[in-house]
Amino acid sequence: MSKSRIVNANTIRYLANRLGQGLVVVFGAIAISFVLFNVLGRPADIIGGPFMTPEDRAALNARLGYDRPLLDRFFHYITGIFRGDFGVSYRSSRNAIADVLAVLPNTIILVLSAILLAGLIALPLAIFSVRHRETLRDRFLRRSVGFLQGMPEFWLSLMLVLAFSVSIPLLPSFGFTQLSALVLPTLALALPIIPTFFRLFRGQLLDVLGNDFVEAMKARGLSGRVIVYHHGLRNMVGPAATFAALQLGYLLGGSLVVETIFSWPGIGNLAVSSITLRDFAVTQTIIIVIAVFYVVLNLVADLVVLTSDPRIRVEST
Amino acid sequence: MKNRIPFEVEGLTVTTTFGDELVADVKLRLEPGHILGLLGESGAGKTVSAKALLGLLPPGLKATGKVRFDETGWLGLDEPERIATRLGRSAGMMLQNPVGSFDPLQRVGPQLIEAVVRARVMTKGEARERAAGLCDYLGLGDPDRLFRLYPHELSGGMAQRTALALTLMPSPRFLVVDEPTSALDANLRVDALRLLRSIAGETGTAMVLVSHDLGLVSRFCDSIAVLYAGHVVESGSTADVLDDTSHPYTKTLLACSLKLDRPGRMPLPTLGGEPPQPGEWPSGCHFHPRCPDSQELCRIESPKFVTEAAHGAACHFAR
Amino acid sequence: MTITRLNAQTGKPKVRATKPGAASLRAGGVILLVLLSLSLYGYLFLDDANSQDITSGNLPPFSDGHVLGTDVLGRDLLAWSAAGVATSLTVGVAVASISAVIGVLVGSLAGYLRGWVDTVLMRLVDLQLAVPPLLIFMAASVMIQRSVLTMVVLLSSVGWVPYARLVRATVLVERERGYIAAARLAGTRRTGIIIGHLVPATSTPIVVFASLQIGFVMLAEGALSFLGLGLEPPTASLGYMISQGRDQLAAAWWIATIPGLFMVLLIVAVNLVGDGLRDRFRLDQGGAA
Repeated sequence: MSKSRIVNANTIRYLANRLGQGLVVVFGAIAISFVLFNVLGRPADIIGGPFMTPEDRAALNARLGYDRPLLDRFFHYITGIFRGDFGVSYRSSRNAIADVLAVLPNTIILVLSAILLAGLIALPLAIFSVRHRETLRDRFLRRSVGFLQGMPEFWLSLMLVLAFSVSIPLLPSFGFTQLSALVLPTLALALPIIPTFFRLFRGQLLDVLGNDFVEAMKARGLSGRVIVYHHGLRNMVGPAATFAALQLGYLLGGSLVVETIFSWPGIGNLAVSSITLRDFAVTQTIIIVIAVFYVVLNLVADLVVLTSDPRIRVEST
Repeated sequence: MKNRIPFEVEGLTVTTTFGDELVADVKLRLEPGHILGLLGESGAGKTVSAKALLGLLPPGLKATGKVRFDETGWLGLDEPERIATRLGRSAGMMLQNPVGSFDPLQRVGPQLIEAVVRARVMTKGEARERAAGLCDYLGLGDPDRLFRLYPHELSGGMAQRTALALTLMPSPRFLVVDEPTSALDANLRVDALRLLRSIAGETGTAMVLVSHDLGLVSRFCDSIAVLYAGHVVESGSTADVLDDTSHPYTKTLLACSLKLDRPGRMPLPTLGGEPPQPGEWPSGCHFHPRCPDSQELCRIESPKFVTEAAHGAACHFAR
Repeated sequence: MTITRLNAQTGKPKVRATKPGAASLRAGGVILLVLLSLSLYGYLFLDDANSQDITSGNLPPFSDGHVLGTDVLGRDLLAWSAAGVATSLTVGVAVASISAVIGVLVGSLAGYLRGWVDTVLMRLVDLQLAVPPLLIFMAASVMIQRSVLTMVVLLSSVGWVPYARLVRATVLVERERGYIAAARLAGTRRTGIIIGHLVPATSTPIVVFASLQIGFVMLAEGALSFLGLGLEPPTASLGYMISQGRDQLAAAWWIATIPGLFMVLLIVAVNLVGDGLRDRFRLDQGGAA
């Protein structure tokens, strides 16, 4: 039985394994972005429009490199990415990665504040629901939280704009030049995920409270409040972090729409404009960057689990 | 610090919200420093009774009856909130799985003192001192080292004794000990029970030992209560129950337990049929479908618990 | 409904609680029925949702002849919403069914055969979580001819993955059970085992998950159409009309609000049915697709 708190070989192997899986995911994202724009459609047709002469099309294809064989292009694409060359955005005439990284922080700010807000609302509700479980109040709460799940982000965003910018001009609904501009998009993104967070927290807490130690603590005279706040919550940090990281893809999907509506200068807005304006180098780069972001966040969640649970460090010996 | 008030529970009945009776009219009495073995097969209602008398029933089960731990006097079993005020002070419980008594994410030390400090039974310093004292008493070695361990780092026997220290922190008058040996290797079982025995003697703590092991119970308990299908079918001092067995169920149990001094090599007798499931108790005497001496009366009428001095049984034909 | 049963021995009535999920199922069912009747009414008795009349544009609700008002081009919002509800449901049900069929096939193969099929599937699951499906839909939608059919194909191309994961997990448990070993020993072929034994074992969670997925699909279709990357007229999509209302938010609030309310109502109803089914079968997987 190892008592050392030093990270052992198995932990490292586990993390390395996770990192390997992450690399596979990133490679998959690269492949998807390549297939989307090279196999599924002919970018030259879309970029050039329907009124091109065949000579124009051939010239455009040659200029964009679409006249070479598929595998050759894929190899070229991948090696380019490893050299940091993600293709050139025709709008900014820069390396696409530069355009994407320039707006990435704004999206991170938005998504993280939405996660934070949703968590801060969902957690107390979940605690309330668990402490009063199977009472009328609990059932009422669960039902009303469920209604939020049906809210489409794009409609909710418009309604928020209608309420707080048009009817009562209280909050800005455009861009990100002041901190108050964060309020409406965060709300629009956070409200629909509250039910998911609420269910997760509630389930985790019920799981934790089903453990033997909870009964033992009651027998020791500890109050339900102390058990939930001092022991229950701590025991659900790991699973909750893992789950939040898994939700990221869904959240970023929501932010595509929300950012467009609020003209938020982030990745989502950039993605929509790059797609509608056929700036595919940028779209491809966004897909890859999001995948990398996801992998990194999941590794962070793994580390949270590893550091919050002393059992895992030793169990594998 | 000897106390004089015996532990008592009367009319303990547990029902589900659907109206099924799991345990009916259990009555126990226990002098300070004594250990009572609560004996029965799984499903007989041992654990439910034990939890009910500490007000720890899961939602969906309801208890009635009354219990007395200390000078506070009688408490209604239908008011778990009032019983909860005695938990961690004069009453406690040790779970089957000793490691499971601890929050897995916190070191042992803070957990040992948490309950008593929060209940304002002791100050932090007093609690630390008491915990160290208990470590010494229970042979747990260097307290400072123990306090720094995480629960999963304790070995089986050590976990058992640390869990015991945890329950003994507030010097309870009364303890429920649930299957204390099931998590232990065979060679540690006797040690564990010997330890409980001496603690009871030295501190005056009354203990209810929940077990299905007649051999262990008869060796270490002062008295025995035998539970069958939610009823106490026989209870009394260990000597009375063993030597002067009244109830046919107890008799069969005794016959079934392997005795090395058994004359000759008779085959072990077996009990026909299955123990009834909670909520599907038979009519009349719950034991009658399996009883070798069953009569018509047993099917119709529930037998009264007949006491003779401190020893009694619930059987129409008790001896 | 409360069922009263008498205990055989004691003669006491046993009170059994209401069947789990009944309230959700009933509420969801009623809302769905109302919405469906509305869209049938719209189909039979209202003007074509696409008929325009610029002279009566931006009419507020309760105007003459347009109970819920009109948009800029004079399209009747009631007729549009009634048709839009039908479109949403069609896409949702179609995608959920197609995804379920593909997912069950791939998932049972992966769970039963393991090996490389399984590895590829699990990496696809990872990938699907890592890259927002909406982004893929958006990118793909500029490459293809847009119609209800291609929309269904597009959404199903990603939608099957969670089913496969669910089925795989169930199959991994089931394949160790005795009856599968018995079937194998009796000489049943692999395909026979998968179709005859493993697929039926996963059917309940699949039905429950499908009912929950319909809501997500309708949200995705709405978002795509809202962004101008999904369904376009003449197909009536709620998302499209909401995007029309976006430009008129200050002048005519109802254009965005009313189709949105229909969409919320529809999704809530479908989710209620899904929740009810989940409670009924006591499954507790999260509903996220």
